[in-house]
Amino acid sequence: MKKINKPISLDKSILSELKAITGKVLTSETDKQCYAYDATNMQYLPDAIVFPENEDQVSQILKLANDAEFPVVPRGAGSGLTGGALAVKGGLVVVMTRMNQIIDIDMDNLVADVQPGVVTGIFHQRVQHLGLFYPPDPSSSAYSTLGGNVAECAGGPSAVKYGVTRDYVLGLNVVIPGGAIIQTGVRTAKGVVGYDLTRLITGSEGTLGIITQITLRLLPKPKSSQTLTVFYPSMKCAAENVSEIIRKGLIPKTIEYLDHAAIACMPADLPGGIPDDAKAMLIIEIDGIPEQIDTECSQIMDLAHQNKAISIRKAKTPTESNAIWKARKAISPALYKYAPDKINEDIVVPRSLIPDFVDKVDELRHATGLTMITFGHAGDGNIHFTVMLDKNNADIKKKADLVIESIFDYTLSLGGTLSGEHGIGISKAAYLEKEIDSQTLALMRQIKNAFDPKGILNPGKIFPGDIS
Amino acid sequence: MTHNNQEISYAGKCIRCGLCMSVCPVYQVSLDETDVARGKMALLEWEQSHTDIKKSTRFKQAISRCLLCGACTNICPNQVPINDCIQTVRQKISLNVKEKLVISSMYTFSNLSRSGYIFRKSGSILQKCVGKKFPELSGLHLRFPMASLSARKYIPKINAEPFTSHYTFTPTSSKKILYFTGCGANYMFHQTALALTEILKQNNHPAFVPENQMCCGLPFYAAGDNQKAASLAKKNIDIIEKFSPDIVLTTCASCGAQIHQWKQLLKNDSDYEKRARKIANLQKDATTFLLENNYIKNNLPDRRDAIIETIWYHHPCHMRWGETRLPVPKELFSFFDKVNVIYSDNQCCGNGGKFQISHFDLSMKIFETRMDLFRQHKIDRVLTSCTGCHLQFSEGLLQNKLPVSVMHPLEWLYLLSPERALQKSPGQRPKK
Repeated sequence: MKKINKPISLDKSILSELKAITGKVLTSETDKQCYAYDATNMQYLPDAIVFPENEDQVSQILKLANDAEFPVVPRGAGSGLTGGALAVKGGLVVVMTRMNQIIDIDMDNLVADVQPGVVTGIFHQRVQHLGLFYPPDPSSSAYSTLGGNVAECAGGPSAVKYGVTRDYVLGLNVVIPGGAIIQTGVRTAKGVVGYDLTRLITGSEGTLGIITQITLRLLPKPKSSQTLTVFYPSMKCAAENVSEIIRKGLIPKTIEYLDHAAIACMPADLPGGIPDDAKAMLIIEIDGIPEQIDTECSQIMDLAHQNKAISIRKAKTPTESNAIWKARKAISPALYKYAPDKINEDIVVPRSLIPDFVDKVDELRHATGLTMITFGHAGDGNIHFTVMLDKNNADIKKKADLVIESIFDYTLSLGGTLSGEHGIGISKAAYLEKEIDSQTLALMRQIKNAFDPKGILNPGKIFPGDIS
Repeated sequence: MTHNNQEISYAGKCIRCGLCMSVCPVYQVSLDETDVARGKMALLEWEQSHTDIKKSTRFKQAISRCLLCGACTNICPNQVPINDCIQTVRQKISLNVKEKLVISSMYTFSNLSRSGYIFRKSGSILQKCVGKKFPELSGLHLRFPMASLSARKYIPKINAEPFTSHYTFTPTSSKKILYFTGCGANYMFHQTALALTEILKQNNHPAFVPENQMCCGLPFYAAGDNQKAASLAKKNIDIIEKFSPDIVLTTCASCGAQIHQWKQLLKNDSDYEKRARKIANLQKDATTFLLENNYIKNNLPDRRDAIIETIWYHHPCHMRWGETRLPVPKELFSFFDKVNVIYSDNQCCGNGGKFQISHFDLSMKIFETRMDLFRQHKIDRVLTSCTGCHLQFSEGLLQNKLPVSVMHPLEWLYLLSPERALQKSPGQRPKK
């Protein structure tokens, strides 16, 4: 695979060609500064920014980029957590937010066609209004885009019952380097014709093509739901409670867990309050038909009692439930109250082994004295392991890097994976070889090469060693 | 300039999570990152080491494209004081010609308007100067844009005399109320001022309305002109203190919020700062005050079902966030069985004072985001407690060819009283 190593400054003739395609190219310092970051808070200046408005424009852009060999970085809302939308080698940022039409919602076949710039939360509202349900719900759903969600295969709290973005993508329109428009997948519940390129492109982090249309599978909206908040005297009790719930054959929509440091980031006005001696918390949501919810709810509450819960509370109104989920979604950014910098990993372990993982974190915390927070989707074993630190302190930074290294090693030894939903981007590229053996990685590089022989599309991402 | 550096370091607290994109009215219309808080915080950080950028037109434009509505500040998980950061950088950048014109005319106006006499004289002179199309005018955003610069349709009637000039006050033994009218009620919306003062009189608790009160200073503050905003604050403090009130009532949410801003503006003057703090503690929204004191009973119609209408209630940003945060006054409508109130409008109207002048089309686009919902209901009336929102709805509804009357909740209440027929209200579509 060819690598673009030096940042290429887009010359005047390229800029004017781009302008002819999209009508507007941003190149001022002011604009570049505002498309240089994403939610990793790292910064790489692009050379120019365009906002295509249709598939044809995207195709022309990728043809031009392939001919002139300049890097192209697709960008949705720029809310990714591993640097997928960063122009690490400069070049052109292609912002997809203006392709934001919900083209069709087929009520009979429960299928929706959307453009990639549709904001996930707006799509949620639209389908809900029609009595339908699109389950993937990343914390960023109020502002992230469906295109970005597909490119990163975003997850969310309901994966334990409903899976992740890839489980809802039926088909895609994708423009590949050179400008060809490919159509993958189907509009039906089943389909096995040819290789499953839909799954390949979902989660490919903008390295294989630019998504221009998405066909999504929808579900009927569950009739009702109930949120429970449960506090425990120790992380261990909470983790064991999770295993118990699953063992009993109960599959809630969501089982989120928070350790004591994450609890401290919850607002004081959380419905039901927060007990002083709470060291761990579960937020459990059950959905389905009302009678079934009542039964499952009391079963889960019994199990919580058996696992020494300090407080168990059913949300009284939908407003309370919303307040609880809003608080949960705000944790990740709120962690900055501990320190100016964050290292955030979203490892996954088999959920029965969550207690082992929690023990390991305790051990590392005691050994290093670093501020570590764990919270996440206990139902599916996806844990947001976070170290808060001041990166300017070299000593602490070094310690933190070692901690991450041993967390990754331990995760893999438990049969887990390095990333559940954030992707690799540039943040985790250096660790990829821990999980993926050299032959598999070589095949992945060949796949990348088949889509993008000149290496123009989102260079520097996923593969180790592509960015210094 | 430690103050400025402090704001910039606050900007450095922004972690670019992007949550502000979910609430920013400007971003949601433009989908441009230079418009949203995290983009602006990136620009502010960068400006710190590249001070030249302040001269760049694009930079100035980006900084000017903010309503200061406060939605992002409210939601920011890292509590970055975004409004303060933007206001601070506005102090440092030079304004363009059009903005200068607007700001200088605002200042001229606030100087002229110290007494009703001068205003009467100057009002007619100004009217001659700018021609027939005398523009909207208020303390919040007094504006004299040239007709050619403006696509505006709404021209409020400007009263020849300020409300304060013909108001009479008889002291009583109750707690002393001072009514800070703000320029909106004083020069344009006399009905609002009349409603409040009359209702108070009916309850034998009249308010003192100082005739020489000045503009609250918000337009200058929002434009980054802290010097003028501070000087207006001082003058107002002197005027208010003379009466030594127990309560300072406001009918404009923005004036109310600016009164709370005075202490911040005067923080380098410990004497004035202390006095400003005291006045901020006395400030109260007039509608809330009347409800709390059960002062509206005389204005209720005889029967609970006497009024049949659908109301669009807009809660001003200055009541939604910050020190002047208040719940939606649902209690006001609880006296009526057949008044249907739509509360779904929970985003900035797009006025933002000077913003509507410098970015008229964008401002209207932001306003129009609510129109689909608005049209779904047969709205008879819009109620809102802020001069800026009042003007914006008047303009926006006219642009959308919807002749719906806009007024302050107290004006509506005042018109409902048994002896005052609702027909008095202009623009009202009577129902049988």
